[in-house]
Amino acid sequence: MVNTILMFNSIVAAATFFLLPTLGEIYAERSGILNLGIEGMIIASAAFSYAIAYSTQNVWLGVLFGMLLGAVLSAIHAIVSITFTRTQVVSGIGLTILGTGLSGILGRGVVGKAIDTLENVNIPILSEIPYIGEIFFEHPIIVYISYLLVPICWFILYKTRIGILIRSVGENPEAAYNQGINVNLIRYLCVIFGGMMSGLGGAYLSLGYLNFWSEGITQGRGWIVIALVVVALWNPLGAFLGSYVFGAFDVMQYYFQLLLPTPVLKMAPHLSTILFLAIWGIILSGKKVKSIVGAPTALAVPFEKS
Amino acid sequence: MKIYGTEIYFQKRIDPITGIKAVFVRISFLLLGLGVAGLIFLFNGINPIQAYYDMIQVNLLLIPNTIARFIPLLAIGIGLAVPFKTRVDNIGAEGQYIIGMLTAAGTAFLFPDLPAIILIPLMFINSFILGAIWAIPVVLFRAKGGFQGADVVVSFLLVFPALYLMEWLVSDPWRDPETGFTYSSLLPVNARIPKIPGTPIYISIFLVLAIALLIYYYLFRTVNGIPKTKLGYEINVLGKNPLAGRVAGMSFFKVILITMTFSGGMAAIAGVGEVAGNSLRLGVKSQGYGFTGIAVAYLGGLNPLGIIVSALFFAALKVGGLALTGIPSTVLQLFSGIVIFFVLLSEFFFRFTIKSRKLS
Amino acid sequence: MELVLEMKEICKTFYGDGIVVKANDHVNFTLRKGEIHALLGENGAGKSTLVNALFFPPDSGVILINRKEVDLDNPLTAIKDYKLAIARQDLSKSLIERHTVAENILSFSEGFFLSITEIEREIKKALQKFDLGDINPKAKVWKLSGGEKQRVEILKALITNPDILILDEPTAMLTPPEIKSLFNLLYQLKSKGVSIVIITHHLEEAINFSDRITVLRHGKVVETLETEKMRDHRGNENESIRYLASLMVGKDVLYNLHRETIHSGSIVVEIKDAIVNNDMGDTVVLGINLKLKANSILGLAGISGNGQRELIEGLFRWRNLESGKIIIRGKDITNKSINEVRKLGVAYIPEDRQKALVFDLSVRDNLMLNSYKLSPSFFINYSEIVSETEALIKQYNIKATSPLSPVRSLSGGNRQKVVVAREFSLRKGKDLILIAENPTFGLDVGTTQFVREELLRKRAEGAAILLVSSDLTEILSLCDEIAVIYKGKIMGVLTREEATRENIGLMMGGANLSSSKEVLA
Repeated sequence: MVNTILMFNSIVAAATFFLLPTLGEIYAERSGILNLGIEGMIIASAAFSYAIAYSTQNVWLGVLFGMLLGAVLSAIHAIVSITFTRTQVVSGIGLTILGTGLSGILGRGVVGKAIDTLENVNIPILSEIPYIGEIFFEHPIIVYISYLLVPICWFILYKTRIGILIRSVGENPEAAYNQGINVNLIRYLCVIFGGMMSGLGGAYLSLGYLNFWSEGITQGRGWIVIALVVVALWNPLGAFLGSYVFGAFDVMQYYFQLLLPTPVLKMAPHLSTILFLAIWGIILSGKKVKSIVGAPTALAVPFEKS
Repeated sequence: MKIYGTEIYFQKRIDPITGIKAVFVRISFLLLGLGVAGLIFLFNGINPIQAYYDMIQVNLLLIPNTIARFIPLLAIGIGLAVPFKTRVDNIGAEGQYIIGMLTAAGTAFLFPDLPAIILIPLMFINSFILGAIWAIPVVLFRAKGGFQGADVVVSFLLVFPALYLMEWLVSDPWRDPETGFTYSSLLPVNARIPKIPGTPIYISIFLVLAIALLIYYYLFRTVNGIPKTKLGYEINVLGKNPLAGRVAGMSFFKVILITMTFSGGMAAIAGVGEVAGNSLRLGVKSQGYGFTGIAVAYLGGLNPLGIIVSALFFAALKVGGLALTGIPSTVLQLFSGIVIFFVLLSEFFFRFTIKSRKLS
Repeated sequence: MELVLEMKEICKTFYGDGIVVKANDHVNFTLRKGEIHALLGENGAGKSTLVNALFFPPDSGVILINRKEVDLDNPLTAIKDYKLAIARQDLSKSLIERHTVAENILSFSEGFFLSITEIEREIKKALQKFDLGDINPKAKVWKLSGGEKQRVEILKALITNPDILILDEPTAMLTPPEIKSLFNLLYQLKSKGVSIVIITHHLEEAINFSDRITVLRHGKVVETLETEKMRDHRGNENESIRYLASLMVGKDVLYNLHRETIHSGSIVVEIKDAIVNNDMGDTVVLGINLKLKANSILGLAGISGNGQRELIEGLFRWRNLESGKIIIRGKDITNKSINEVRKLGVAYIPEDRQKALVFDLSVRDNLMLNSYKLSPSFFINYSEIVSETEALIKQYNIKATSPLSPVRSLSGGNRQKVVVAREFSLRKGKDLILIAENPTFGLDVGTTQFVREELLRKRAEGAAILLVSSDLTEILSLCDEIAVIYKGKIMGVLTREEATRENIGLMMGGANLSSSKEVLA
């Protein structure tokens, strides 16, 4: 018998893992920088935060250091892409490989070691609402942070001055530069924010969701984040929707174990992402559509100050 | 950037650095990168000098192992260089490599009684085809437009289905009935790639070296600026300016189809060499050559001659890793990532120089 | 009269890829309060670089505003602290297409929150105040016409109430009545004490509307003169134009083109009822019919942005036609590939140099872009290509260190020579069909002369040529027939004898053939 409440609760937990890095990468891409190193940052942070939590016996220190590592790693990509105007695709791939490599070293001391990870915190009153309460409000605090981040990220991007500066930089950095906007600074800030969010996602993965560390625990889901940014149409609200859909796919594989062979289930998130991308790509490439929504015009184009 | 009354800025070089000079710059940046890796070791409680020393020692002892690693890395590196030159980044080489292994093993298990002289080439051919097929989705996404990075995302995502397929095959239908562990049975005798008599080197090295040199001669080498083949020329043009290529009537789709087919096929061939040479059976894990291959291609400057050297370097790195006990296999990826970044930085310095001027 | 702006010994050098360009070489420039000062010069003379020095620091030099030395190290200082404003020539570097007009004009926003409605209100007020017409602040910039975009750019500069206003080619996409409004506006601003620098290559504008003129050539100031004095001295407008042109170029320039009278041959290319959409899905070519004949040059005149680009892209098969047919040498190529069109002998000189050259590759690589595929097998015919490219370099006098130098290191004129050499040699005689888009744009005098002579030479040899140009002089001097395009339709086709600057100008502005005849009668 399928316990639907438990299933939906799991979906929320899974979705949060997708949501945090997606919000971060949306900001990076809106400023024009494509960071393909998300998988590397997530997995390195997952290892690092677990290791720090283990050695200091303090979970929140682990989370903090996970975010710091994400920031540092993304800064490398930022320096190479922004200051040295190298190709962002290759730099991102390098970051993924580097991050994956780092994760092994950082986590080697704590493979399989159990620690007290983040506990679920039931929010008073809200968690007592039938159904909704058990699904949405019985999670580690990071999940609640993700709930708040969605409207905040949306508001900043669309309703504030800094938001339009970011979007201008991503659409036409030359025009922004000519108006006196510090294009490089904005890009650095957005990329590093993205890195911190990936770091937070990684910390959540090992300390709040899976509650252990071993090599390869991301199973390539960091790459799904990159696809998610597109599915979200570079909009934090879309990120929320998309993350929950993909979270659902991720969780469902366990619930359909009896119906489909295991390998097919394991591949489901990846294959469904590819399918999504194919369909989305076809829809989004329609010409009229492109003028209304779509990638920031200057995405992944190196900006050289003339 | 302004510090203490002087401004530091980048200036485009009047004459960009090329040729032999460029190779030297690249090597010096590589050494810098190894230094940074050493620092990372230091921060994690490993003595870098001891580590590097041990790695060199191990290599001198185990040269055949280095060559064994060299062959697949070269195959994948060459395979990647071609699409990379058209700015199509195939990072799913790992998946195509796995598919190559699976196809080879599958062919061998299906026809164990064929004589080696037929079976082994058959394994190579089948794997090339299936590896190429595994690479096709990248072409479709790239050709249909899509958005930035779609081809990269898709190519990587396809690695996992390949990996899980291998896991399942090895756990269930192909599981070795004798040992019961999650390995496949040993490959039939006829499927094993022979070695050069008197040496521990597999004859597949000839195949891969031959392909490398052929690709160099026909696609990369230029005499007085002119490549040997039309395809080589089209790869150059489309990689540098696809717009101009299109105006001239070139078909981007045709070129990337050819290059990606080749790329997927080469990665698969690397897989055949591995499963029918080194390991002789399938396991659940993969060697990670697909990702190292990316670094191999870039360090080699996307040129087959350079890639031969670069593949040797990374093979040595991999073998050297055996000396680093207690460090997980992901250390090779750490090196790869660092190398990629330092190569990117070195390329920046081919075009730009750092200058300073005093502010009044 | 007080000097509101002084620029002394401004130097700016650009480095890169084998060339060093002294864009500004010890330039001295002053601006008096309340004057309109025209800045003239050929493309590449250094005009835009000079005004940019007010926003981004040059290599050396001193700038004074109101007689006090200033340090203008970023655009914000210039805009906010010293009340400078600039309306740029290249709108793609100044306006964000996907955003609305209001989102592009952010000078009102301060602080953290954004009040778009307030900004929109201010914009509407300003549009009225400056008589810049009716533009919806909520409209997305990509939907606007070229002229509307230019007016938005001007509005962006004016809305800050600057003391010093710089306009870089402000009339490029404006119709004659809009140009009149603009200069009315400038005079009003002048009377309020605003000082104006206007960069233009329309010499008549400079002569008729400015107080002083400064001419730049190769990064140096040739002369700064008082406009009225010069006008009186030279006598009439034409003489003044000749004088200024000679200052700009350094010698007396008369494009003396030898033009034979040839009877045009058979119809080689036919465009029938072509309907083409642009990238955004809007229909910008609304049923065009054109015929290209051998031994003749058909000109397509029009203000850029009226559909000529999409028409050419449709003809060349870079873009699909929504409906209509294209027939080349009797073959219907409406749905064929670019390669097949090329095989029919169609050569193309695109306006966008990015489409014509691979900057990172060598001169030789670029010259063989069409001919590499002539050999029957997979291999390139080495000796043929070598001799052919060397012949082209000689014939067209392409100045490069060696055939292997990257095209990036060539000057603008030589780069275009590479394109011309390659495309013109695609076929010989009657087999050549040539489409040329603004082929002399941005080129120096020598190269311009050369390209125009080549066009006439190919015409004499039998080629059918379609020349798209926004340079009326070029059109008038080269073409056998002239079609004028306006908002996606052909307003009329004039023969060489019928065509005058006036009637073409009228048609470019929307009058059709019959009504322009009426107006001019």
